[in-house]
Amino acid sequence: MSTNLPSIADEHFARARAGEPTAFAALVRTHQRSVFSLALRMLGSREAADDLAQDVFLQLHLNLATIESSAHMTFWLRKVVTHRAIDRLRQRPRVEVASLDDEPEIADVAVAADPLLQRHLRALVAELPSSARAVVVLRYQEDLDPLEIARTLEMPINTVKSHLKRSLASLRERLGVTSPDAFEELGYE
Amino acid sequence: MNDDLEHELRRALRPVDPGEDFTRAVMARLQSPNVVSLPRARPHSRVQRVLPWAPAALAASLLMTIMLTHQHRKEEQELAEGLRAREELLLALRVTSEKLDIAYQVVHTTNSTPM
Repeated sequence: MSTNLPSIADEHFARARAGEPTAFAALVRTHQRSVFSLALRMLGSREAADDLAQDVFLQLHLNLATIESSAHMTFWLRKVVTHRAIDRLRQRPRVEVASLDDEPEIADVAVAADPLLQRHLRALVAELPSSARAVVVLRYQEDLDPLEIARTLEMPINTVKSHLKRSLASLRERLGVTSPDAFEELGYE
Repeated sequence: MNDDLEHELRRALRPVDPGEDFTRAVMARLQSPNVVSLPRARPHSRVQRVLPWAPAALAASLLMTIMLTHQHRKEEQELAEGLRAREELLLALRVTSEKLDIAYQVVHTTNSTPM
């Protein structure tokens, strides 16, 4: 028999809704990595990402009463940060691509195996159109499936799949990756 | 390059932390007098957010229902009392009629007896 014990995230959420500042600070610490990274991958600038991420958490504090659960809050955060990032990008059509010095040091040896490739990929993702970029970031940073991405971005699922298909093809072409069957294997046809 | 593009994308887009100062900055902005924040988050139903006049309308509707129900019950009570009174009257008339019949028979029997 399984017991349905509230998680720590649920407890922090409930206490934050009740007005406890320490609980809200715990929520920020829990979600700041995801929110900041979404903003960074979308806006391409650490400073802009920091500013947007802070605004999103302030907006969260104002809207806590309308959020029903910690799971709903996770969805809400992803939705708001990506929508606001897209809005900001549309206000300034020219993308500010992150400089090589703008990235924090990554201590993970496995990740640092090919840092230049990863930086190149991040730069290419930053050049995608805003909607396509949001789809790619939600897919590969947040590990959302196309249906979850569609709900987050309020976009038809076929549009999500189309963005993924075209973006991967574009990235593959620009990287010089030649694998005719790779896309079929990914299951997006 | 035969590396899985998706695998590389996941590695490239791995989340990064904004740093310890981030939480402090957010909390400092929350405490700023320029920020309007709710002192205590209370759960509001979706109905109340969309229809703020709903509680007052509901109370008025409930009161009217109670009043109409009370009026209806009063009328029913009066009707029942009326019916009871009618039944009692009919019973009284029936008893009187029976007694009159008996008296009539007694009188007629007495008169027909030869002297």
